Amino acid sequence: MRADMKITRVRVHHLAAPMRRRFGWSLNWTSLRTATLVEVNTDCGLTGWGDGGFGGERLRRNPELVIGRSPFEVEAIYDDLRPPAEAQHDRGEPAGAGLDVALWDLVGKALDMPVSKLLGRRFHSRITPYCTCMYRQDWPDLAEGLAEEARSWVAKGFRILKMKIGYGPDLDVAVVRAVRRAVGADIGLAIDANCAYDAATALALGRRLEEFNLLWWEEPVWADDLAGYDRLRRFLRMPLAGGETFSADAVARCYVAPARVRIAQPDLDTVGLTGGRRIAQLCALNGVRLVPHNWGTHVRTAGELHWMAGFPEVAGWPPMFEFDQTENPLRESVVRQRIEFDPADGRIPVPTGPGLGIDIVREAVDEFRTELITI
Amino acid sequence: MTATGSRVTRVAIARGPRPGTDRIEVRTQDGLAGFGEGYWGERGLRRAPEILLGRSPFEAEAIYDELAAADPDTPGGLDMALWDLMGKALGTASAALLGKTFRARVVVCAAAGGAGPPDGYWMWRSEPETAQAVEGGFDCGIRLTAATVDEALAMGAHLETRPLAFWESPLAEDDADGYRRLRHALAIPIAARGVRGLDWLVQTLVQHRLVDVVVPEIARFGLTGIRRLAYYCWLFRVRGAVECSGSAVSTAAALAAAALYVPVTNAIAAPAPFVVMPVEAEAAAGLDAAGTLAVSAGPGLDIGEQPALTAADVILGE
Repeated sequence: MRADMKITRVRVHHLAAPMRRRFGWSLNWTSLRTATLVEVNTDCGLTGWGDGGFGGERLRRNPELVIGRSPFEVEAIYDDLRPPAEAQHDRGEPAGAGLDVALWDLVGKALDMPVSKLLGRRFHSRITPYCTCMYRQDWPDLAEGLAEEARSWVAKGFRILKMKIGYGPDLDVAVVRAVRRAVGADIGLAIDANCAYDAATALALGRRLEEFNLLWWEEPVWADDLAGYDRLRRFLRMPLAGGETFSADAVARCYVAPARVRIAQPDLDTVGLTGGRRIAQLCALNGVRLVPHNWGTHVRTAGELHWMAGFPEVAGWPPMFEFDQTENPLRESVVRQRIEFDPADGRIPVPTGPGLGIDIVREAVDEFRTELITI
Repeated sequence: MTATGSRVTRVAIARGPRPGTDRIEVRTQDGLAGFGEGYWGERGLRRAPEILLGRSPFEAEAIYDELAAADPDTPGGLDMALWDLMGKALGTASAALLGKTFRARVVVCAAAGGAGPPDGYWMWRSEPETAQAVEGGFDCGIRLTAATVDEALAMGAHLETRPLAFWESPLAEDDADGYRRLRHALAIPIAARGVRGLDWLVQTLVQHRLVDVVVPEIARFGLTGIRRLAYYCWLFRVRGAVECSGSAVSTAAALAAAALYVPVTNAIAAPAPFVVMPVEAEAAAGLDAAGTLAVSAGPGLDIGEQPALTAADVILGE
């Protein structure tokens, strides 16, 4: 292994795959799944992979911020990919989260060690997933359809489910009631409104939903409606969650430091492992649970497992992350290893191989690629 | 170039003249040696040497937290040695591995008495016995601890009549309410050392902005700890500094750590981070006309040849 390896090329693979059946949530419907895989090559033949941002225009215009550098400079590269500070404005937000994960993958491979050992103290070797499912479908009776779907996930062994709401207060109450009745009181159930409401509507709805003993309410209002979050927190017993669209800095400042939410949900495609580690330390200090959002391929899932391995229990809760079970032809096909939850204990093992511990299926990347950017 | 896959085989400690000055040497199976000075997680390492021995120096973050969990003194000195090793293994500066560096030279603050900065320095910190003894100055910090909040408020009322760069440790640092009261009553920049550790410093004083400046000891916080702190300082708009013993290795590590603090503003003359060290320190020989020292360019902490600790007080491993 050459210790002086240098990055020679970054390739960005934009992928897309049609779905067999569309689904919806409060903001939209979709019949297409997309992903961005970042491939980082080095002069010693090692390649790292990540799923998420690659640095965008900042990297295109300034390739020297990455090309020619050592992957071991991952922490510096993460901050170099922020837009520089301007006269009366602080530096911008990091834009290369997927690239950051790819660099961690490279460092792990270079050292023949899993990323989780490099990130810090490991508390866990298996992580609890929650099942993301139960989107809006073209069913004549949405409540009945969701109830039936919920039963199917429980039958597969999942103990924690998250469903979408945000279709109007009355329909929301109807679908949550139907699902709760279908799965019983012992299954953990969370809801996600994808910022569907203003604070007043959310507050009224939240009071109607509290009888269903929900684990959390994700994005009840706009992510930047901090006063709205404060109002809901004051009046609702149900834990609030959010943060999937925020940078690491914004999650830390807006949500974690003031404990505005009880559950922070940054996504690796936005914060990277470098930012993720920074948030995790602050979450642990403030007693805020870290339950990452995960809406990508299993490259991202692998990264989240390594990330969560280093997060301690908070308030008796083990670390948990989103395990998307909706239709996504890209998710499993681009990674050779199967990442599956073990029905015996309801958890997923953290990969133990070098780097992220996964191998990329290049044929699948080629098959689904809609655009290739080379830097 | 050295392989990066080697493991720690031996750690040797030579006791220093006072707590936090133990000299530390960590060796790997391929013959590399990393050096540090300060705390080394003695309690945890004696009980479970496998926290370090047999592991890669690149597991520094994990080693730091595992030892910190077993010992009230976080292993800042040992951490220095691991970052020195990592830089040497890769042939690069430890600072480059730690993160984005914002400066190549760092202002040095002389820990000294007197009414003005010692020769060669532009900044100094004194430890007066009373507030009345303070003459102050825009480049002068003081360390003076009151017994009670009321006493600190009275001192502050007197100190506010003269310029001060910072007032360090005005109260015992576990008195968060006291710091909050000082914060609301006084305009003097308040500084804290983090004597209760990194977690307390961030959780209680930094994120709630109860202090303006942090002055952590490199011997206790190490490079891993100060890297974390540097991010939170930027996030919550607190100015960073580092205190060191003035030895070659401690100074090199402190300079590398200080390079990580994000500028607090974009101004040409923005308030800069600084390194506090004894006025008589050998490292001060490298001061330039502006009272700054250069951040080591590597490899590692670049402190040159060090005598091997062959007859150390504590040896673990081979």
